[in-house]
Amino acid sequence: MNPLSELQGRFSANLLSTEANSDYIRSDGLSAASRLDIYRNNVFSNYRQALRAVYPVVEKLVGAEFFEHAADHYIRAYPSSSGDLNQYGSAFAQFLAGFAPVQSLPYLHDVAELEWLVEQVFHAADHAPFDLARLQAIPIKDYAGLKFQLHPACRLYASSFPVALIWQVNQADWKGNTNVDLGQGGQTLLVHRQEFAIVLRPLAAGEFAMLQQLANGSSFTSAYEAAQLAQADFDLNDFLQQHIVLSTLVDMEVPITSHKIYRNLMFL
Amino acid sequence: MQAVSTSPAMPVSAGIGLRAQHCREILQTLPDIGWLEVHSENYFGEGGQPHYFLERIAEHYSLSLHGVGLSLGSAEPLNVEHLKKLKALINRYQPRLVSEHLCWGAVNGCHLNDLLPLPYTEEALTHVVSHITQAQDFLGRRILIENVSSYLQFQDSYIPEWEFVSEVARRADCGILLDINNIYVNAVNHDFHPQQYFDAIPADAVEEIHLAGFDSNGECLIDTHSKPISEPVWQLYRQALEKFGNKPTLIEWDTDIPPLATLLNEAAKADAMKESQHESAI
Repeated sequence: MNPLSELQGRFSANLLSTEANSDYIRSDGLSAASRLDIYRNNVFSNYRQALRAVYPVVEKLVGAEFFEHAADHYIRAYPSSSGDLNQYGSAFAQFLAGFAPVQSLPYLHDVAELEWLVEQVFHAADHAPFDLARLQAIPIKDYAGLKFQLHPACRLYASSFPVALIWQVNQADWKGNTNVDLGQGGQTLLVHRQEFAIVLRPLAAGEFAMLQQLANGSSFTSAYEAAQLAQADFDLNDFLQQHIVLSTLVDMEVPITSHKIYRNLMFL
Repeated sequence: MQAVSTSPAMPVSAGIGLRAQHCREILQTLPDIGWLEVHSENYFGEGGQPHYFLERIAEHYSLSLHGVGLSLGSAEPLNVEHLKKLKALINRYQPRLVSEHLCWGAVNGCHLNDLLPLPYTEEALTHVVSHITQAQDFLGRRILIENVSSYLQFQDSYIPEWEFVSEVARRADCGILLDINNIYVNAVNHDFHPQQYFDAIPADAVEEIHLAGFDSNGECLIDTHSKPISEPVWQLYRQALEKFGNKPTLIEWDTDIPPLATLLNEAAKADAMKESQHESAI
């Protein structure tokens, strides 16, 4: 190993693990350990700040002091893998699921997952609304093979807890009652942007199933089948109208139908 | 490949670091400010509000992209994904200046996400120069590298920091972003005279100057960017103007961010100092 690589490895071990030998650092009036403390303090405070920025609801639910304690455990267990600190925290939900002190808050993992999605949606690409003229040019009978595309700033999330409600009442600007009855059960959600504000929209079972299928690249027919299976009274017209207006659906891929292929062959 | 030079036409009046909470006010009031600098990584996302504001602000002001995470001094290879995102951002905004830090932050794929000092050795010098060259080739343009503050020195170091910085710029053919606050912090922490630093840095290579505020933990000065610029740093800035001439100067403030007016006042103070320097030079 070359000296630079070795030095950087030792420095990292001094900061993040229990490695104490720091004889490669000059003392010069202040001990090497005290000098490393300054860096450790900076590094941990940067990480904590990054986590706090993405997980304000988790922090509110567990309190600032405990959040810092949990963050410090996370920092040691899940090293940052990106030079972009905004990416730090992607595994925080996974960490909380296995973190013994929070096992009495079974919904915390889902709240953290939801906050990570909120962060993704906030920064995701923009997209123009659906070009309705393109859709109107297609006869209803040809819808079967269409592949609809969701807005890049859309995520779907299902939880067995009322997570959207927990999220809502723990926002800084929330003025109402902050009690949430966990007994009211789970929610299926669309996380998206309106203007630039994040909106968590509760979805009916059919809508959720349909959007999930479309997001996975399924054809219109199989998505519709899944929606009907999830919800007997699923209304396709309502669905299309609503999610085109909301810009959940922004584009589509029109397959070359067998009819067109046949016609092309005729020209050959 | 020859790195393409940046546009020479950066406004002469001082700029400020653009922070999210000031975007709306800047667009509404269009303050008389020379230019704006953003942290590149804060715009690595593809869309949404951050880019909405930056696109509109870029219609009125010159931009500088200042990276904190490329980790040019790491022993491990440069992260190509990071470079790709930076290049896409450069293509999107066509900034006048692009800068990174002369430091390291990642080892064995683990990022400490901090601006860590290098040992000042020939090995580190050769290594960081090859990374800067690689980055400039990839980005297709010249970048500036910034001297960082530090709270320790390595046993291995035998090249004075100022010689290391100058030599990096000479060998990599990159510009220098001279952070006056970092020079002051290091001069106090490591007991050298800032004049030695100024004497070693070639004026031609300096393409941008940073000014910021530091804090003290009682044992060391810490570069927190959380305070007004201190009097000794203003004094050093005056000397820097004499030595290096009028360079694009930026007010940095990243923690405990004050109202926009406070930043504009600091920028006006830098402008007044440039003005009096200019007059006395005539």
